[in-house]
Amino acid sequence: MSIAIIWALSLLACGKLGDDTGAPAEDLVVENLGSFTTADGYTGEVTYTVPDGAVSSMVWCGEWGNDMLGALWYFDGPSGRLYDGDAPTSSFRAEFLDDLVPVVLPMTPDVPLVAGEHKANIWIDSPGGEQTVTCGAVHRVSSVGNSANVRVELVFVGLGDVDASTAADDAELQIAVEQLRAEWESAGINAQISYADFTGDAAKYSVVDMSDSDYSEFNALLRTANPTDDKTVTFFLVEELNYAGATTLGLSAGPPGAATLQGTSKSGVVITTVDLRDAPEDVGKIMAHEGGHFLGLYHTTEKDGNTHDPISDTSKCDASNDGDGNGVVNSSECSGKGAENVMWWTLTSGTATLSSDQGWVGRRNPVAW
Amino acid sequence: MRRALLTTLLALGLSGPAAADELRGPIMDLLNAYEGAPTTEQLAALGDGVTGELMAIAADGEVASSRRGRALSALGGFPSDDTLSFLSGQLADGDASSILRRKAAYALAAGWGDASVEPLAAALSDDDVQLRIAAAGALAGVSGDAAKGALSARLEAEDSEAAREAIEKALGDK
Repeated sequence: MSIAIIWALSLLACGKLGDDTGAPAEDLVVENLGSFTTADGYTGEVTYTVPDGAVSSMVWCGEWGNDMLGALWYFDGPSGRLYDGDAPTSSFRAEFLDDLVPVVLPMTPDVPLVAGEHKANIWIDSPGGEQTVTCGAVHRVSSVGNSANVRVELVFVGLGDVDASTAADDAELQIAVEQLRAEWESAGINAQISYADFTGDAAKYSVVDMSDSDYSEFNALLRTANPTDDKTVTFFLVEELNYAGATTLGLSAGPPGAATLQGTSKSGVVITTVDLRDAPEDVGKIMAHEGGHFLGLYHTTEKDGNTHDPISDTSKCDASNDGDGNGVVNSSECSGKGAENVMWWTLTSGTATLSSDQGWVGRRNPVAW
Repeated sequence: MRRALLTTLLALGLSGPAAADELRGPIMDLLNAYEGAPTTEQLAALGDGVTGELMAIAADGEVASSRRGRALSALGGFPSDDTLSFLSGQLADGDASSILRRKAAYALAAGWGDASVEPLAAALSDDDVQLRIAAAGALAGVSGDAAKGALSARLEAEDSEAAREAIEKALGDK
């Protein structure tokens, strides 16, 4: 990355993002990392301390709005540089995101979390002038075994034929929920499901419209996430996510999502449910996949076969498998090479599974317990 | 409706069994992607017969609605008289599901530009508020005074706040 560097103009008083993040759960240590005023093109450094006994840390910076991109670009640990965006490794992924960027560590058992002082570099493209950026960290100090719970709140956004009061008795919705549970259970992640109704403008948000340059509706919907317990992932069930005129089956904030941080543009996932009556298993698969993204998992292999997740025990399918030459590695070309994984890039038949290391990552996420 | 669409496809001779056998799998894989819909280039690279197979998938009631909708969206990248007729029929079919009509609206705008204004203007007055919002969104991507005129004309009569917002946003994009 070659960017002009302009340092922060000031370090301001810090505070939690928003007013509705609630009290942290007992195993969470919340750090405020300060607020910065950015100039045109900005990079700066934040320091955070991973406590002894921590199993995961989420570092985040935001909120600079829907029209700018930012990334946490390098990380230094007590023993030196863990990751450099200018020289990326296979054990870390950094994404440029609008508005708020969360990074959850560790991303892989190959690079476990180390207690002590760490530094992270934040880079934000702010051509519009000054912006105030707030950063923070959430550390989970706990023991993690071979199983963990994750609360999932399903929020019904104007679906018409199912809502929070009917969900428990809705046969197709329960098929979808069981599919989610089954796929996550392959990694010892137990989905604890609750239901709620969306209280905003359902006519607007039942179909979420997005484009390459406009995530404002998606972001606005996620900002309404307000579960009772911060250790909850909010799944907004909409009729359709419409991306530039085509349907997107689901989309997670991030990835990863802003674990335990509510009311932000990265505080949940959105699921297209138009297939709930005809293909409820597919809706469950979409929930399992997007929820996996929220927990910090990436596609085992991206569609082009050139990019893979940072986890070493997942099967990979590189571009050399593209037998029909259309620039895409499809499920039949990659049978036995990752196409059976929950985090494969496309829906497949049957119940997909997560690998041991994917479970290791997911169970450590700050939202798990 | 489904029978009528299949009859149309057979009459057009667009989807032979051999093509379906060869193409259905890789096309469905692209349509099944969790996040990104397939690009025209990815589909075209699969060879001859893709357009006919996309129409067959869009008309196949055994396929999940989201994937049928994605097939319709993809047809916007393959403009021809046949696909224009197919998509126009979908948009005008009041018995078709809302999502299929919405996807047809976007595909018409993407594939035919100015020539799509007339059917999209009609959709702006449909009873289905989500179709009206989609028609406004589709017209936002169509350049020219005709699209702007259709949106402006509908704005005064529109009584749904969400649809009005979509129309105003579409006009703001022009």
